[in-house]
Amino acid sequence: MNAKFNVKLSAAMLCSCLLASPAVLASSEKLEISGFGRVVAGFTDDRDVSFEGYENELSFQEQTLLALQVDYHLLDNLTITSQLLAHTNSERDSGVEWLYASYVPHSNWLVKGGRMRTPFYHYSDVIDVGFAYPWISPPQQLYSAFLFNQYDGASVIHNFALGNFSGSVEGYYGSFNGDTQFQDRRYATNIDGLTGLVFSGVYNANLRLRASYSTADFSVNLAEISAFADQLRSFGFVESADSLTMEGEFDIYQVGLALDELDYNLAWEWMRIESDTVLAPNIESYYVQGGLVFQPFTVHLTYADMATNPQGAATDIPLGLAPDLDQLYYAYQTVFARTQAADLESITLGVRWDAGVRVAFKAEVTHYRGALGISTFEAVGDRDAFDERVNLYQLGMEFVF
Amino acid sequence: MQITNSLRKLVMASLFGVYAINALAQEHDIMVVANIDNQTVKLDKVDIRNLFMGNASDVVLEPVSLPPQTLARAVFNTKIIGLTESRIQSYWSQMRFSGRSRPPKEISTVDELISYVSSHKDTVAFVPASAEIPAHLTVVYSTAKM
Repeated sequence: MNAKFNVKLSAAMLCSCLLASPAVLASSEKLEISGFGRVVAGFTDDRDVSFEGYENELSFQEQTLLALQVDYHLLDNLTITSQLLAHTNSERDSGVEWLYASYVPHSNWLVKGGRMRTPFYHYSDVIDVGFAYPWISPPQQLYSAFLFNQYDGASVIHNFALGNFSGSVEGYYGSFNGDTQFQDRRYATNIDGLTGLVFSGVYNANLRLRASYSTADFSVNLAEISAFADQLRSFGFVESADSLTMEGEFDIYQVGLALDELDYNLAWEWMRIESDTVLAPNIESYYVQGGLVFQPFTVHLTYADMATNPQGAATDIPLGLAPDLDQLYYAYQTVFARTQAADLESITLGVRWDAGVRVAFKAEVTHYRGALGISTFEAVGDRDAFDERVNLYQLGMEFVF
Repeated sequence: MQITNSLRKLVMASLFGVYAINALAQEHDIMVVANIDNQTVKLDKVDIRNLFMGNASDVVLEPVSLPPQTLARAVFNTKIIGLTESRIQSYWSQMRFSGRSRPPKEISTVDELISYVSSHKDTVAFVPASAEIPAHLTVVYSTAKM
């Protein structure tokens, strides 16, 4: 979708919500209109690489967005919700992000069906709602766009109370057919049999915990790489072809804890992705975050780390037998090397200023350390000049209405 | 120079504005009142926090609130919820936009709030400790020393 269309869509959405909300709300409680948005600017101090679309040049495009949520209450316990999103990042689709029906058969049960956000981690389903979290960019080690973030399916949530513990269990099932974005490029993706279980709870009303498991079958078409893999397969180098094929099963495990007090907060979240595919390595990531509240400012510090466990290249193409095969061998080694993930470590210092009840300004600087890789930095200049250290500076405004 | 001055004034005003409401909150008290049949019921802080934060609770009552930036709400946030207004707003944006739960209904004045709770069974609200409460409402919690 081009930028022009996005701007038009944003303008149309803004107008329709400005026009519609007071009038409609006054006339009927059946329709509720709300929304959120963010304006984010950022740049890195490194000329050799790009990181999540950011380069050594100020950009407002990567994360700026505007969204409108419409809730229509068909019955007391049956609601249709739609979330429309306009994004300035040309690699992200603008349009209907969520569209689902929710039904409350009993006060402790909630059933939803339709297009929803995948609840992998604590903030996954509100990743576009910057107002909901302290950072401008939540720790990339968990929250990168590396994964797909929507699914079509159903979810059932049950809430329960046990003394000072208030909990909920969510089970969901669905599929996804669309694009996944990583490193500013999009790839056709098919996810089947997505199944997940999320357990979350609050102890003493201020200590939150969350644990989840999800699994699915996936296949991602990596364009040129998939074409090269097909070629290798036709020559009979199945092992090499398989190592360049993004197809298989993944499992994601997540655990998180967060303590919120009047003048400080602490949070920790950990995840592990396991897959049987060479191209999608096993990943283990976590972050620890602490914040101090000096009303209306919150200063926070986050350490995050991602460790990947890459697998070796295939060995079925012989070297030294024939010049043609040698050429294929080196082509394979080069492509394989370019598809490897790398580890990433970061420290983020940020400040959030809650300037009003529904508006916050944020500033943050993140120091990253990591090699080139599909999960980290992409070379835009001289690959060998990159010193594996990048600072990312960001400023943002978040609002909800 | 003038810009720096006005900027400083703005920052000071917003800083002290919030400090002032927090300091003020410490000096005031609120009570939590419910429209229930059993007038001997008492709730503890955790019950009330769970009710007003949309968590499952053993007590099933509909919470009703005052708007942000009212003194009683600042007292309630500080002494019972234990979170700042901004943290509460950020929490509700997560709940609302992920389709999990919605913030309590807000009623703009204390008088209207009391009359709403008076006429709706199984509702619960916080009001200043000095407010006049109809006899059929039950005080289930108070921050004032009794």
